[in-house]
Amino acid sequence: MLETIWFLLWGVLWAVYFMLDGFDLGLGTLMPVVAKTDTERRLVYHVMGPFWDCNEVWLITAGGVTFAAFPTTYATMFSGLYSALMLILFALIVRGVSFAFRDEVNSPRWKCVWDTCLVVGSFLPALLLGVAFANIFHGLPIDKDGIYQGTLFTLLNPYGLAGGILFVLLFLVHGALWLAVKTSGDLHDRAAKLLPKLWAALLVMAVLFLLASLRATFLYDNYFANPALFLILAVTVAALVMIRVYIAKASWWRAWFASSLTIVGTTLFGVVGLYPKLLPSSIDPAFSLTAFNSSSSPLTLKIMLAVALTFVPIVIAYQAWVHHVFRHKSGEEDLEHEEGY
Amino acid sequence: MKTKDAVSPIAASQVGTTLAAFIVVYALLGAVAFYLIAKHVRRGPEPVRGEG
Repeated sequence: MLETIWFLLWGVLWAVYFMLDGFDLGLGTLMPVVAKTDTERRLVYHVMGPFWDCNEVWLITAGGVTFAAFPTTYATMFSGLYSALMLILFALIVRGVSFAFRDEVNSPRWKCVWDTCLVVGSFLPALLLGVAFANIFHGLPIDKDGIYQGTLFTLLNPYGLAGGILFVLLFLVHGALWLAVKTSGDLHDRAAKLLPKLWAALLVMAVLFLLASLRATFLYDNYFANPALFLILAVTVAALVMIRVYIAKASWWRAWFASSLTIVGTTLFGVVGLYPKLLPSSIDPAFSLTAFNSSSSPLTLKIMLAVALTFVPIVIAYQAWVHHVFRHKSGEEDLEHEEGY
Repeated sequence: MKTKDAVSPIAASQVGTTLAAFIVVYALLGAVAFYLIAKHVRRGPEPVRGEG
C-alpha cells in the first residue's frame, strides 16, 4: 500500500515538474522566434524570471523522491541514463546562469552568448526528458543485477525520439501560452499567431505517440485490464482539444490551464501504464524494477509520507504567493526597475 | 564499504568526460563572475534611489 502511494506520488511529482518547468523550457526554446528586439528578449526573460527556479524545485523533489523511496531504481536510473542526465544537468547550469549574467554587460555579443545558452539550455532538457521518459515507458536494457546494458545511443531509438519531440511540442505550446498570458503588444500577438500552428503539430505528434505506444510499450495492458483507467486518457485528449478551443476564444489563462492538464495527463498516462514497474526491463520482464522490489523499508516510506504531507503544502503555498505577487502582465516599463534575478 | 565496492557501473571514460566538463564549465563561469565583480567594484556604489 505504502509502495503504491509512493509510486503514484513519484508520478505526480514528475507530472507537476513537467507542467511547471514546461512553460519556461518551452518559452526559452521559442525565444528567437517570438522576440525580435533586445527589449522583447528582455521581456521574455522577465516573464520567466520569478518562476523558473521555483519550477526546478520540483525536479529536485522528483529526483530526491526517487532516491529516498526507490533507491534501487535511483541507482539504475542515474547510472544507466548517466550521459543523458549529465547533458540535462549542464544544459540547466548554463541556462540558469544566463538569467543572472545576460544584462550585466551592455554588448550585443555578450547578450548573444547568454541568449544561446538560454535557447540550448531550454531545448536540450525538454528533448532529453522526453527521450528518457519514452525509453522508460518502452523499457530499458536492464540485466538481472539491475545494470543498464546500453549507451546514450540506445536511447535514441525512434520511439524515444518521438517522446522527445512530443515533450518539446508540449512545452512550446505551454511556453507560447505563458507569453500570451503575461505580455501584450507585439510579443503577445506573435505568440497568439504562432499557437494554432504549434497546437496542430502537437496534435499530430500526440496521435502518433499514442499509436506508437500501442506497439512499442506494454502501457495499455493496465488499461485493458481495468478499462475505467481510460478516463485518464479521455481527460488528457479532451484537455488537448480544449487548448485549441480557448486559443480560438483568446482565453489565454484557460488555454494555459488546459495545457497544464494535458502535460500532467500525458505523464500520468505513462506512469499509470507502467504500474507497478518504475523501470521495465526490455531484456526480461522479470528483471524489471518495481515499486515493490526496489523500495525503501516501510518505516522510511512512512516517515517520508509525514515529511511530504508537511512540506509540500508549504512549497505550494509559497509558490502560489510568488504567482500572486507577479500576477500582472509585463511591459517595457517593468524593465526599468529590474535588478536582475 | 570501500569506495571501489561502492562505485557505480559507469565507464571511466564517461566519468572522465563529465569531470573535465565540470572543470571547464565552472572555471569559465568563475572567470566570468570575477570579471563582473571587478566591473561592479570599479564602478563603485550606485546613488541611493527614491526614499532609500
